[in-house]
Amino acid sequence: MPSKLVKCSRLKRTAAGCALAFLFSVVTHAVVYMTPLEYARTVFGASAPKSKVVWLEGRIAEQVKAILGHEYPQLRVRYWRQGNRSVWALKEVGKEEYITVGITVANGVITDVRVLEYRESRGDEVRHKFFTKQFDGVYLTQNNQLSKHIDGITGATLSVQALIKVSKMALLLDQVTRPKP
Amino acid sequence: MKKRRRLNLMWQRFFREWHRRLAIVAGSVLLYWIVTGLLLNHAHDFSLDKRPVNQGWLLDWYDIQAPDEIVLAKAGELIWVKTDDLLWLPKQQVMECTGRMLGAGVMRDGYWSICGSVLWLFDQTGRALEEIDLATLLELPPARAGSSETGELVVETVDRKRYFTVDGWDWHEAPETLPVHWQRTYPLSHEASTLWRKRYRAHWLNWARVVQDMHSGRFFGAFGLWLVDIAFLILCFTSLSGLYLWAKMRRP
Repeated sequence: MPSKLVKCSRLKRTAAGCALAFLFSVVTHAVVYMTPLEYARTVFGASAPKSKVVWLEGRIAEQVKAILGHEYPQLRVRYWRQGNRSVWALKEVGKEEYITVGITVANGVITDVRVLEYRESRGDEVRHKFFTKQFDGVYLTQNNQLSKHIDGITGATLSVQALIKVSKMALLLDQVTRPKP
Repeated sequence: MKKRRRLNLMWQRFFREWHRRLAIVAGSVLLYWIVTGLLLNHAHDFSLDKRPVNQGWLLDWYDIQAPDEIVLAKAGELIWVKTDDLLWLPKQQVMECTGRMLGAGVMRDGYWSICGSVLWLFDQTGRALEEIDLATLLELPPARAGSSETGELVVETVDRKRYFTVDGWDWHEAPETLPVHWQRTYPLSHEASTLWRKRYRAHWLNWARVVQDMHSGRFFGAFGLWLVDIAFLILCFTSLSGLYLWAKMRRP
């Protein structure tokens, strides 16, 4: 759920009211670091393959719901694939806002995680390499869990959870869209 | 010896008197914390985090203002409403949109809407299929959008070049002679605007937030935080004075 900058007018409100509004204010920083297409181009180069879509229906939708704890806000997800490497741009709510995350999967293993768009007011430490590099080499276990424990960040618990969820989702979608040998 | 006894009695009287007085205050504060704390602990069970606050005075208290801009876009039976920086999609989804709402229209297998540089595609029932950022697909930002007779989405960029697409990703330059039914936004009636103003304001505040602020004292601003600190000190005093009086009463 997106949030709002609570406005404060000095003329209309008392000093106490201003202090109150200041305390309650939640400043939304909608920062776009990269668009999904730009991310795909950083992975595949300028000649990125044509994008494809996977529909979140039936069994896939159920598994995604089990991972996220709710339905994905879109009925289909766009991705880029070249051989065994796929690139995903998925979004999940941290505390109140969507975080868009780019994930590269090669041979069923995560090779890169990058925050593409961050709208939350707090917790954007998750976009730093010291955190995202933990996902390198992680794969999905039989019960749709990550193969490795991801250390959290104090004060960014929900953003960390969001990144863990979309990583699981990317690995799952990579599995179901991988060309059969 | 006598002097010490008199001093002891004086202290006992002081503690008894103030313990009784402050215990009433402390008890009331404790009750307030218990109630708000219980509500906070079970906020999820009571769906407080999903219940928007509709009370005007409370929204005024938080200084949440009504939107300046409310416009409507429609296609078929579906409507999209843009209130300042929020776009309300047909199936209750709310998305952020800081740009101008260009409109919504019919496509071959569903609907589209464009707000700012973000294109949304919907199925025939209005469920969101996909969100596409046009900024990286078209060279310049879209200026207007519409549907062709054959059900393609047509976008005219600010340099007046026209492009059409079926899936939202593959864009092709369209001839200027291509007949397009251009879409636009519409103003809302006074009654509808009033409803959307309320809805917009309520969107920013839920009951879990209010209870949390009440529990922490932030609901009353900087003054509330001091109030909580003072209440804590009173609680400490009544606990210690209670122990003191109890210890004195035990003595024969």
